[in-house]
Amino acid sequence: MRRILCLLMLCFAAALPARAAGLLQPKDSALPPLQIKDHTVKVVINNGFAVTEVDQVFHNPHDQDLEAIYTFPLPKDASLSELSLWIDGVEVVGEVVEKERAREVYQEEKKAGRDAAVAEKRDYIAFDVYVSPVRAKSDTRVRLLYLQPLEIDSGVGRYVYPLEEGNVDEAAQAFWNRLPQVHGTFSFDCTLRTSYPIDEIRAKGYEDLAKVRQESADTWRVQVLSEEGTVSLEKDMVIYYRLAQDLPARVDLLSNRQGDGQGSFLMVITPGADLKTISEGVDWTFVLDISGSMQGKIAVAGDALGRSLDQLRSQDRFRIIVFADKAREITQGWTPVTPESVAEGQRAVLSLQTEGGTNLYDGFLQGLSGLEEGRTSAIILISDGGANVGPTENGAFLKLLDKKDVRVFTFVMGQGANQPLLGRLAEESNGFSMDVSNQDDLYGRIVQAKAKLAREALHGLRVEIDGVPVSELAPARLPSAYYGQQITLFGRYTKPGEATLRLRARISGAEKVWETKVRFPGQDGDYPELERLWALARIADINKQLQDGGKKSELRQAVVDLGTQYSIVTDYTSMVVVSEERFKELGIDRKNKGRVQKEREAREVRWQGQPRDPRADTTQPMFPGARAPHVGSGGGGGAGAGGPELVGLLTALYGAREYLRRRRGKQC
Amino acid sequence: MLIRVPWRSLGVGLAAVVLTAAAPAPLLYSRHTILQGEVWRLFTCHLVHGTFNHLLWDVLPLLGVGILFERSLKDRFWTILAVSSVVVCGGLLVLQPDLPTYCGLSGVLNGLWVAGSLSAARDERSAGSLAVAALYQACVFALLGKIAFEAVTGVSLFTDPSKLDGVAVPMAHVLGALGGVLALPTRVRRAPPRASFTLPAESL
Repeated sequence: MRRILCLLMLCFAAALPARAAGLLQPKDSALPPLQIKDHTVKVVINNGFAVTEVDQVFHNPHDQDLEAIYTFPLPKDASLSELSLWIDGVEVVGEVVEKERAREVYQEEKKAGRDAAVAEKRDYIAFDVYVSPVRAKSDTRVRLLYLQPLEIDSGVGRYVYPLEEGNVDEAAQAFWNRLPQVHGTFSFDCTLRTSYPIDEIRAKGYEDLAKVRQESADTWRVQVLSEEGTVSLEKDMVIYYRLAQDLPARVDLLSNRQGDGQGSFLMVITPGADLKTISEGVDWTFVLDISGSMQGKIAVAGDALGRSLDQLRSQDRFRIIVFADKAREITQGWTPVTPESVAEGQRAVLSLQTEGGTNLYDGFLQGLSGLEEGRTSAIILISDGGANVGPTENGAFLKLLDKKDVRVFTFVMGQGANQPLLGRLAEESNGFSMDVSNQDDLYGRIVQAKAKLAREALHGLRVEIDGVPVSELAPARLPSAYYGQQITLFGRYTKPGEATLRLRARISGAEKVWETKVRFPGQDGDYPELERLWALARIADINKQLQDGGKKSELRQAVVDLGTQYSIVTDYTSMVVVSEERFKELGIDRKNKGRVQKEREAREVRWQGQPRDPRADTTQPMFPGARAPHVGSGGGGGAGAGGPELVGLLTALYGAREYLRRRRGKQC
Repeated sequence: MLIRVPWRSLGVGLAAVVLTAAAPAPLLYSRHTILQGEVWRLFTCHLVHGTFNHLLWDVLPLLGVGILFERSLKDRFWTILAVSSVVVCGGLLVLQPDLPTYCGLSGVLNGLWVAGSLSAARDERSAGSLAVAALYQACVFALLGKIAFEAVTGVSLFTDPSKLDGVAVPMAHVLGALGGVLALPTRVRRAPPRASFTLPAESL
């Protein structure tokens, strides 16, 4: 029944346009665009997070110096932690300062003709890297590195190297030309190192070029290499790695603590697969974006929605709402599922046309109207862009959810959709949000979504840690965990020792508690990146408060403090690169340089050694005997056994046999 | 009414309890690894269960089947167990290539049920207990009806999928029953007792 969502995902995502990330050149320049000479990507996925290093060489074939702007689509939850520029052949690592200050410094350097670069975060959409000058007839090399935590969903890890930019507004589209072609070498080298065995790896996006191989028991590699200058950076690279099918439900813990100071930790809880299936009737409201950005996709969207209606059960009801400049319902209120109503709904969605802007608020408002008490309600919200008509603030949307008993499931299509808002709506309503890249292996995403919607979920999650002082947990409020999802928690701790870890959750209204012991080490320098990842998670929490209308100046300052202390590019901080001398003259502390050095050394040590086993509950499993959910897991012999009914039947059979035998005995 | 202890079924049930508690991953049916050569999984996967419920509702019926049919099956119990194990897993490999993992006794239990019912019906008929033989035959038909229902609807009878660590696999029941039928003719033929005996003198 819940294939509806999956089919929608399939068809919508298939229709998303591909827009390449690349080098941009002002249109008013008479010169042709700069060239991407080489594009080298090195990714290391090691125990729950990925380190992505992008090295680019730009070539300016013209007789005059130019400024280059490189736009990099912002990967989800990514922390840009290094931006390096080669000045006089020497690598200079950037430092994070307040956004305005970074701009001033960059403009000053640009005006003076000195080498400089600045990386800014553009909302939830992209990092913009400005480089000046790219010298006439010469190359400029820029390197950036970002960290991002990766989650395993139903036993499958997913890494996306985003190259398809979305949600570039029309003015920008008109003003800039883009050039995604790599004229020299394109190389992508991803190494996966994990102590949990990997069954298989699948690379999507550049299948014709990708080579996947297992190098050792714990190391896999995906490589794409093209030296012919023919690769066009128009598609995301998506890598899936499927863990072995029979891994236990577990608690993983990575930590970083050096000296007697505060340590940071990353805890990943993988609950067991023993969640019951649900079968009651549901009121489904489909809220579909038909704004201008859906041009070219609407026919596919209509087809997807139509086929989804085919999957509804007779006890379900549905409504279909579409929105552009304003929302309207194309059904007549709650519609019982009959062959006729489904056929009518299908006809209606197949005739949809795109129009106007994106009034997501009105669409959501209409979707929430008319919900009936006593019925299980769900809203499926599908959008490929950011709201640009009507209220667009998070707070306004969240107010609509007040006192509404409805689960919102959002499907965020492509890089340009407003993931923070759509994710927040899902989180607030205890639903879930799913990102879909154009290059996603949609069948896999469908399988994952279907498994989640078909089963009970863990709501009202709380993690308690006793025995070791922990603080500043992030996220402050854990979202519901659906089948296959992991619970990820960052935090700080001040003293080492053994802690009692308790997980509390509501499953179908019943409170459930799991408990185990975990050890927080006194010294651990293997993962210094955890400090930044923790800070990034804290910033994400603060950003939520900001978007909900919290005290702007205080929260903004908190983001700036975290951003500058942990060298993270945020909405209010940017990373600037100037020469070493200029850093000194400008009085910019080289904090990030030291941090980068430490992180590089740790990565080198990790690279040389075996991947560490992150499991923290081996001696006292938190979920005794339970196995981790796994995509396609069809285990369970499904017993012709299977219940007290059969045991009763066998008992009756035994009784009947004995009765017949005794009767025969008497007759004899 | 004295219940005869089904030692063989009890042994298999205990093995299932121990192996499920130990949760040994290398014993599960894993299509991927079986095809890579780990053929022991064809036999061992039946003893491992996804959840406690799954184990409980496989082992209890196994004991019931043991109480009813073990006396008739005798050591053919093991043959049926082995043949059903291979037929279930081999069949799943061929007929259900989209099934990555499988575990549990249910498949082979269907084999024991069908073979046990047929064997017991034959024994009872030979002994002249036609009513009991008919009861056993009814068991066979009931099982075939259950399997047919499952095959047509795709719904596994008596199985609550939420209590399994995965989904029910009706195909395993069909294959298990087939295994039971295939294993049944392997009845160990004992040499008939020699006819040369002497009658007691007083009977003359």
